[in-house]
Amino acid sequence: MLHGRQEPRLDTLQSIELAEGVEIHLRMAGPYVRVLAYLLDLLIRGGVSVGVGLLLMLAGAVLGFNVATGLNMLLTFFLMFFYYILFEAGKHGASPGKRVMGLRVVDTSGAPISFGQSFIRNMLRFADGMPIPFYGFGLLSMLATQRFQRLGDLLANTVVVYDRLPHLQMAALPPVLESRAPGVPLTREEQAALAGFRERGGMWSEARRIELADHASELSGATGVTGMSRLLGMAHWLGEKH
Amino acid sequence: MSAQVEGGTNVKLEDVTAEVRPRVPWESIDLGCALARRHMGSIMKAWALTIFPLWVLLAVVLRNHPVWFIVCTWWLKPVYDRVPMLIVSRALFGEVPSMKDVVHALPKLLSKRLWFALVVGRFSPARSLSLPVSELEGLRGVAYRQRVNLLERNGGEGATMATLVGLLLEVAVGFSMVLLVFMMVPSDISGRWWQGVTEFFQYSDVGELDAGFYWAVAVVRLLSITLMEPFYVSAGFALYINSRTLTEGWDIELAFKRLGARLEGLRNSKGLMLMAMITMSLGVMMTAPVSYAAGGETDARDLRQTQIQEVLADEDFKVHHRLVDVPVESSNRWLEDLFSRSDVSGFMGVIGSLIFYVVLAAGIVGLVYLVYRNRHVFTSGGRVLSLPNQPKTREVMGLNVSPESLPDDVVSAAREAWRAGDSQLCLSLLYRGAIASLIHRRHLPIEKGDTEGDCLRRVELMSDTPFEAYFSELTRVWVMVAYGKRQPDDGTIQQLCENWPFDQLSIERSAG
Repeated sequence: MLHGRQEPRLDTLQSIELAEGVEIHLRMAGPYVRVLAYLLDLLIRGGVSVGVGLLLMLAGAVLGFNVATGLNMLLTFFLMFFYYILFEAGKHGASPGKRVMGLRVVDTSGAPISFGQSFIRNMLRFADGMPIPFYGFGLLSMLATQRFQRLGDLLANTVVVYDRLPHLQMAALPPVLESRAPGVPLTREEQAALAGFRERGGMWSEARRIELADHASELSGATGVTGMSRLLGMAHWLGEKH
Repeated sequence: MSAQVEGGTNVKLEDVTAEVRPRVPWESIDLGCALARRHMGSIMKAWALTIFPLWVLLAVVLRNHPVWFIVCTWWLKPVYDRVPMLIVSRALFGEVPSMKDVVHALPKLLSKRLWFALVVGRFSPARSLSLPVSELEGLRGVAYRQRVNLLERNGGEGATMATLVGLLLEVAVGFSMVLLVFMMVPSDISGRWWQGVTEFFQYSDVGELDAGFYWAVAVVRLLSITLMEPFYVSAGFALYINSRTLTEGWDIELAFKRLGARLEGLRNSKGLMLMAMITMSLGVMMTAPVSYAAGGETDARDLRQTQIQEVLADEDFKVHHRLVDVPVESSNRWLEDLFSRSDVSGFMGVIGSLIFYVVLAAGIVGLVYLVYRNRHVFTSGGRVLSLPNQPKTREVMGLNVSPESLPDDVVSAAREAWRAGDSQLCLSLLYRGAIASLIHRRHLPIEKGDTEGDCLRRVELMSDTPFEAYFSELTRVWVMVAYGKRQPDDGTIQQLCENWPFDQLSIERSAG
């Protein structure tokens, strides 16, 4: 009756065990969202380049044309090489485009990345960007690896993850009057399902809630409204501190 | 679950192979990418079996019209989408369809509701999300529209973004492939190709261009569609799953079904175990001698007891005790320390305690001094009506109300004035005396600019009622005499003098 699964269920999470047995999850960001972050960064860099370039041209009247051109080239160099390196090695671990999309770069252990890692990962953009500027290699690498890593990520041992907590619309059901212990020990997943039933129950119609609760009538020992309120009581019991 | 997967073999919803939980749209798209990657082999095989022949057929039919071929292969995208959808949707429930299944499903897959897919649904920006509704749920008409509207509430914008970014990725893949080939071939050949590309943008009449160029573009387009479309379709499918999870608790449904199956299994296996135990004990009873069978129960109980004792005798079950004296923190501990200083011997101890006593004495003296300086707080019943150092008002409404200007006994002075016939002086004395007493004895904050009415109001605000009644009467008579120039009668003055409620001013005057 009970058959174990051969492989774990597919997910975009990577769980990492920290000291003291604490488990955290990194939520890997895939190519679609990262393309948008890249385009935003491209826009920002282009805007800065054009804006400051114009200012430098005006300043060229005072400084001399050669000085202005030199400064402009320095700026281009900086935007090209150090824009990503400095931002991703910084406090937020993300370039402005990534921040807008709610992403950040971390070590595969979940720790913030070092300057060296940032340097490697962003110097490898020239490999990922091949054939420049269409990022064909980077895209292929992201689609082929389990953690959506491009070549720079693989070399620097980094991953791009979602930084913000997901903001999902939820509506909990009102608290029940009686708290009720489940008759059998429940697995973590089953407990989570019970809690989810209570926390998100407000999103569904009463008929749908009863329909859902009937699937677990084996646990509640009843169907219909009685079964549902018993399940909610169990969810309440699980939510209390034991 | 209403997902009727094509060629509907019996799909076990509990065997879902991906984690179904509420996600944000971007994360759903990522899950879709992961799904497509895992099943890329099957998808590509199915694609080669179904879509490539279709393309070849089209190419043969349109062999003289390469531009139309490009347009047609682009327009038919929704038909291709059905193939990865078939693989991914079945694979999600742990059953990757074999190539035989795919071939069996092919005729229906390519022909079903073509009109709808290619005309009505072709340009919907959330095409990837609505595809499963028509393909897996088989809805059509009004029901389809309602269902799509409902599901697009949770993830419609995600599907639109997926379409936009998917388009970008497809273009990027195409250009990447072209550039890669250009990089790989010798430069003289690629130079000629470049020339061809630049010619494309120079020709005013594209019809004159070599057909080979269009066929090359078509091949690049088809390759990039082949690579990216499975990811796009999977992303849409994952968005669909996520939308159902949010709108109707699909993950909860799966989890509850799994729970139900587990508990049922548990109950059945319990039943089996019970059966086994019964047969075993029956067997024991049949084979064992009768006497043993009779005493069996008590023996077993003894055995159990000894076994429990043995287990409990283990070191792990020993309860360890350790008594620790925890010093009790008491609030007046410093006092105890102070009086048990005898054990602190030596010069430092003596000096320390000496300094302590000096500080203590200084503190007490300071406290006493403070109380003495602020003694008025205690004399005026705790209420500070005016600060003692603030100069007292000496003149009100042009009347001198300083204690020096008044006799010790205001009342007898007033009587004398009345007897002498000077009613003005008599009432002036009484009124000024009353105000002076209020200012200096009761600390009433009467100011220089106050009128008779203001004074009366201030007195009313005091809680001592005898003052109020008397002062109001006095004020009335005073106003009558001072401003109205009318003579009060004898009884009124007698009453005012007899009922005089104010304190003597003599002490204040000697102090001042």
